[in-house]
Amino acid sequence: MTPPAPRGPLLEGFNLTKTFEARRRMGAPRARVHALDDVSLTVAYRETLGLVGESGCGKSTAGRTLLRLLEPDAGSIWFDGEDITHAVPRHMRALRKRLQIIFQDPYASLDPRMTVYETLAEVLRVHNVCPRREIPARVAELLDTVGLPPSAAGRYPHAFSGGQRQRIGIARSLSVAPDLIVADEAVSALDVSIQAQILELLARLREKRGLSYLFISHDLGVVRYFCQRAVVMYLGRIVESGPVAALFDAPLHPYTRMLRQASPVPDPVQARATVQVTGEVPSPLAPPPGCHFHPRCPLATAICRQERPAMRDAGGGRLVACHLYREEGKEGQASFS
Amino acid sequence: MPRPAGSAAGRLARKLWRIATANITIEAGIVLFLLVVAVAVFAPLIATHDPLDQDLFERLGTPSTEHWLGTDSFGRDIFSRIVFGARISLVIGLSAVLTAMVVGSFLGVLSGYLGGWVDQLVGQATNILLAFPSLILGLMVVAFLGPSMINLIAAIALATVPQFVRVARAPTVALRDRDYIQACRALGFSPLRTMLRHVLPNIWPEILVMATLWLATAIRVEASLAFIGLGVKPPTPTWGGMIREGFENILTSLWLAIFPSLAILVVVFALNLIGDGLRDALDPRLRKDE
Amino acid sequence: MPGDPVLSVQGLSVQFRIGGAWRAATRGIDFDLAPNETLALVGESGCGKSITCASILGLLGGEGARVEGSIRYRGREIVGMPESELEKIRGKEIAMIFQEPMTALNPVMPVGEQIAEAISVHLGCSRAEAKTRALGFMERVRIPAAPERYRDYPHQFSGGMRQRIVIAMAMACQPRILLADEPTTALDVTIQAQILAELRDLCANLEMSMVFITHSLGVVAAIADRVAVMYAGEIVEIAPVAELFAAPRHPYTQALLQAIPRVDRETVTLRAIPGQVPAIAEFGSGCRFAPRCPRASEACQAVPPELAARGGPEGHRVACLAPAPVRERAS
Repeated sequence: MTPPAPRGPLLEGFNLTKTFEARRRMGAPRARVHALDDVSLTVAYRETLGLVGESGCGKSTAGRTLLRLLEPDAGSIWFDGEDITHAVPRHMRALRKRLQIIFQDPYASLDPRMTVYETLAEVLRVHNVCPRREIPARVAELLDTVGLPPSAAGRYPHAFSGGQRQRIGIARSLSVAPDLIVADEAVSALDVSIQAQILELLARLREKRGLSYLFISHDLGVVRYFCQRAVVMYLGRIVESGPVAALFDAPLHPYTRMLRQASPVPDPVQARATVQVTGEVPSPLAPPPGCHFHPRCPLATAICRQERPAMRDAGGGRLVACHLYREEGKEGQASFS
Repeated sequence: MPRPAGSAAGRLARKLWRIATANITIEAGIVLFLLVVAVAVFAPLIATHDPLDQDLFERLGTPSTEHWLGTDSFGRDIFSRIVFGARISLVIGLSAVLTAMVVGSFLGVLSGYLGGWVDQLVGQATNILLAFPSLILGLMVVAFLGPSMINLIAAIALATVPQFVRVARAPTVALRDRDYIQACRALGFSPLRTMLRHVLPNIWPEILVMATLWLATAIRVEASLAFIGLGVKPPTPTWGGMIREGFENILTSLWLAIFPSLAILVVVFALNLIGDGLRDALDPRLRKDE
Repeated sequence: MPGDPVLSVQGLSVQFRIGGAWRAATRGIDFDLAPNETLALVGESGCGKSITCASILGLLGGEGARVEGSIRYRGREIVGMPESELEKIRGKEIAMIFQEPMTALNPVMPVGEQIAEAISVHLGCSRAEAKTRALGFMERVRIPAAPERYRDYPHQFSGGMRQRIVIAMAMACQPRILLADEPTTALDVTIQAQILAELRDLCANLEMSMVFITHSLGVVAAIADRVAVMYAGEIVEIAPVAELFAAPRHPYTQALLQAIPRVDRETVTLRAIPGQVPAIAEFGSGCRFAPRCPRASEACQAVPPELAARGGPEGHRVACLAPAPVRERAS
């Protein structure tokens, strides 16, 4: 393996499209849900990229497709300069040492019938990470890394609290020494104080091991704190991306702005300011034509109802897919935020 | 470093033992079934006569101190024939169900886990087999291949396989989308390892329940085949064969058909007790009482 | 807040039988709920907020649970009230909504009829009148095209719309108190923001009090007039909402606020609270936060600190021997 370049793409998705067949009602025509509709994104070496949006926006599908846990219908996936879109299963299994995932519900992602030791040892064995006799020492080391006592090894997942289980999930991902971890709502199910502990752990690992993360979350606060850049998705499409501070302080896309305004903030004055949040996410089975967001958008015009907006460069590392952006220009930003 | 707690199989055994001893229904079933197994194993010691020994002076004898359950139309001792008949029933039943369990569970997990054309193929084959009642299917196979022990086992196994495919496939499909099976893929485990180490141990209990219930059916089917003359060839004693012979003299010697029927009843009853008990014990709390 | 409290909880302790011994899940809960007031109970999982809420409706009791102390609804004692009396209060005087609206809806009955049923049961009016009222409430909680959707079934609605229906059902009998147990937790933020705004409007327009249970301080900031912060079965701090966020005094409240990554500003360091919430069986005799508290002294381990003003304004009470000093309120 070549040593990672200081910057440059590590995991890239180009024009990814993924559809699922919707469960059919009797007699209804075959319907397809566009979970990903021409999605392109890049996680750079040692970068933490946030992926935000509401349920059903395709952020989780994006994460799993990039890891090829789901196969894209179209588009390509590159990892460390190599096209892995069609990598054969054998090669893919080897690549999985470098690409890991942690799940939202650590309990569901651990085999309930295996002790922590068995869970971790199995991964070490399968990938021949270390000689067999070193496995117990390795497991102890992993537990220590994620802040669990050595006594945890002999226990089953159900004997742990939510935060501890997430630590086990993280230890399992780390056991193969990955370069990139997809964290799929990894702290969403945890209480605030535990969430902070896990974020602290993930941040420490990022520093020590030079990890990259694709951090999928619906919590804008967590994304702003933990990520460098973020991508906002709505109904299978990316609507905006950019560095977190700029993205959330001065959103360019009306949807990002709505999401930002709706996000709870522990400040009574701000939290009660009149917000313009309306409507619901339409059914992904019949997304609106043109810009998917136009039915809820306070600024929508004729073109928004007809044409899909192209992704435009807004400078400062920001991209936005909104017809109104160019017309609003730089002054428009002020009126947006 | 604390020692990892036992092997997966050992744990399953301990769990089953815990459940078995906690539930009176299962206990009763197991005791009854073990009794039948003991009878089959120690048949030569238990039988009072040679089951093939004919005594033409003692034909159609009523139960007596010499012949506890009477004699048949060839003067053979019915008690001894039932005792030896247990061997045939159990050997055929157990072999058939074990074969069906191994093959069926494997196919079921395979088709559930892999999906796609494998699933289609296995699914269609299963549906075709399921369309025939197991007795008819067994009948066709035996009629085609001829009635030998091996063919009987094959016939009953074939009729039972789809049941195991079905019972293994459904939970596998549900598990496949569970995060920890997804995690196995993400960790680069091969499909075979994932299926054997992570899927199978989690659906074991359901398969086991199915096995006990279908063992009862297999024994019934074997007896039915023997009854219509497609069983193991006479003069080997089989329960189904004995009922058939008894039927010829049903008007004069009722017990000829009744005693072997009772034997079948006991075995089927015992197995159903175990199966139902296990199902009740395992079903609702599969995940919780780990 | 003016007027006599509609609800007054004093010394409430709920005990559960765990492994043969009675364990107190909550201890000495005291609070009043004024007319038209929204009080938020906030805390992490296992802090006893939902148990407190359930005991207000008299839903706890029977074999495995024991409720001690006093819960008075407009002067009437709820603890120990016979079931037949409680039934007259539930739904009509005190209504409740939950996190998962599907559990509160009958899946095989059109939603409009469910709302109408609740109305006719409690108010005893005619079918036609119940329907008119039900439609009125559906419109009031902003269900689009309410008349067309009157005959739709729960599964035909989105999660947010279902929660609106449940709210309409709860409102239909014009209760004096609404108990809301994490009603927006399962919803997306844009839906949550709308539901919170509607609950605020409804409370104001219908002159209703609300006890709002949540784990999110962000949601508290958006909905509450007053806040009670709970930890391990106790209220550790209670204060008007602005006061609590501007000048928290209990170390746990302070730690919680510092553990939230905020979207509205740069968070340089997030301070995690070390350790974890103790299980019921591990509750000590002193302050339950002491093992995780940076300011804990030996005195804290000995006796549970009382909820008191401790030098601050009377409305802002804190259960801590070493509370943060009273500060000038920041802007």
